Amino acid sequence: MEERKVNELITALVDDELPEVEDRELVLSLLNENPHYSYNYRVQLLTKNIVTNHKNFVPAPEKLKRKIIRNIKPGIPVYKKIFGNLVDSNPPVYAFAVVAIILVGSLFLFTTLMNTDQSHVEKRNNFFITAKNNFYSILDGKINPDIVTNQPEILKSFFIEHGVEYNTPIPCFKDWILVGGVVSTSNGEKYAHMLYSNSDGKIIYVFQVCEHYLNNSNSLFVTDELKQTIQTAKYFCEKNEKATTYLTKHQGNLFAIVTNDGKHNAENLLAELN
Amino acid sequence: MKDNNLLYEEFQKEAIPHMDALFNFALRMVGDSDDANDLVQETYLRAFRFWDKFEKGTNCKAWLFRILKNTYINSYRKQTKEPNKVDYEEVENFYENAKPSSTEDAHLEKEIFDNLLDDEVSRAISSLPEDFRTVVILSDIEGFTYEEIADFIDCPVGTVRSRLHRARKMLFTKLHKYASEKGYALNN
Repeated sequence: MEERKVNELITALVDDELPEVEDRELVLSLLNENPHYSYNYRVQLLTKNIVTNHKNFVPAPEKLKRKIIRNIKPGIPVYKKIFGNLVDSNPPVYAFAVVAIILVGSLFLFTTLMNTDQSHVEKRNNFFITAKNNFYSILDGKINPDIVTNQPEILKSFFIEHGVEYNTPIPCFKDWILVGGVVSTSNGEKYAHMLYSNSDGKIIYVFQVCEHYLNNSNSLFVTDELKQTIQTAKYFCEKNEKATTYLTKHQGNLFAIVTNDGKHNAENLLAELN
Repeated sequence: MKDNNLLYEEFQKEAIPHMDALFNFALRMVGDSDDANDLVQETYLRAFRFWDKFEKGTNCKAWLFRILKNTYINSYRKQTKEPNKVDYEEVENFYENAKPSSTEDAHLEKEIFDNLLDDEVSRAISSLPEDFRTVVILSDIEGFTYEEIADFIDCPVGTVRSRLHRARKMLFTKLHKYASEKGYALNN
C-alpha cells in the first residue's frame, strides 16, 4: 500500500473512522512495525487534541440571537411558555384568566422589539404610541405572556428577577382580574407590562416605566407636550374606535393604560389606580 | 402546509440551539465578527424560509452548516481576504526535517503544546488554506463525522481523510514553530 494511503488511514484511525476491521488491523500492525508511521500517528493525534482543547469557542452574541429571532418571527420575542404549566397546576385560580385569554386571543407584541432594521433599533420610540401599538397587537393575538398569574406580588418578583430596574406597583382594578405580564427588552433596557381581563373578555393593558428611567432611556421617550398635559390635567386620554388610551403618573412611574372596554370611564379607572 | 407558529416553534427548538456553533464556524471562515454576524443571520433567515423542507430526524446542525456554506460561497467568499497561504511543499520539508531521529521525540510531548494559547492555535488554524481549514474545524472543533464533512464539502470521504491528514501536518508545523519561538519545544 502506498505511503499516502497509509497516512490517510492513520488519520482515520485517530478519528475513529476506520470501520473496516482489515484496515484497522493493517494500520495497527504498520504502526507497530514502522516508526515513521508511528510518528505520523502521534502527530495527528496530538494536533487533533491541541485543536480540540484550544477551541477558543466564541458564542454567538446575545444581540445577534435576539435579532435573528425577531427577524424570523417579527413580533414574537423568545419567551418561555410557562403559561400551560401554571394553568395545569392551578386550574381554579387561572380558569378565568384562561377563558379571558382565549377570548381575546393571546397577547403582547412590543413594537420596541419589532424593528428588524438596525437603523430603526437605534431610534427611540414614543412611549404613548408604543403602548397603543402593543395593545393592537394584543388584540391580534400575536403572543403569549411570559407569566400568567393573578398574584401581584408574584408578578412584581417576576419583573425584578427578569431585570426590570425600576419599582413596579401592580394596580388593582375593580371587576378586573390580573392575568399576567411580560418583560420586554429594547436596546438592553427592560420594561414591565401587565394585562388584566374581565368577565366580558375585555382587556386592560398597562405599560409602566419609571419617569426618571424614561427620561434617560435609549429606547423610549414621552413628548414634552404630553408631559405638560399630565402635569396640569393629571392624565391624558385618547379614544378611538378600537381602544381608549390613558397616560398618567402614579408612584413616580408613567402609566400607559389601554383598554377595549368602552364602558370604562377615565375617572373610575384612574381613581382605582390611585 | 404547516402553521407558521408551529414551524417557528420547531425551528426554535431544533435550529436556534446551534447558533453558537454556526457563529464560531462563521467567525473562523470570515475572520471578522461583523461579517460573521451577517453570515449567521442570513443563514438563519434562509434556513427558516426552507424549514418546511428540512427532513425531521436528520442532522439539523449539518443542514444548517450546509446552508451557511452556500451563503458563504455566494456572498462572502469573494469579499473575504484569504489569509496567507501555506506552501504545502515547505510544510512537508519542515515536517520531514522535524521528525526525530530517535524514539525520544521530546517535541511531541503534549505538555509543550499545552503552553500554547488559544489565540495562537486559532491563528494557526486561520492561516490554513480554506479547504484545509474547513475540514479541521468541522472535524476537530465541531465533531462532524467524515461522512457529514464529505457531504458538506461535496467530496468523497477519501478526500476528507486526505485533507485532514495534510491539514493537521500543516497545523503541527505551525504550532511547532510557535512553541519553538516561545522556547517550549525541546529540540528538533
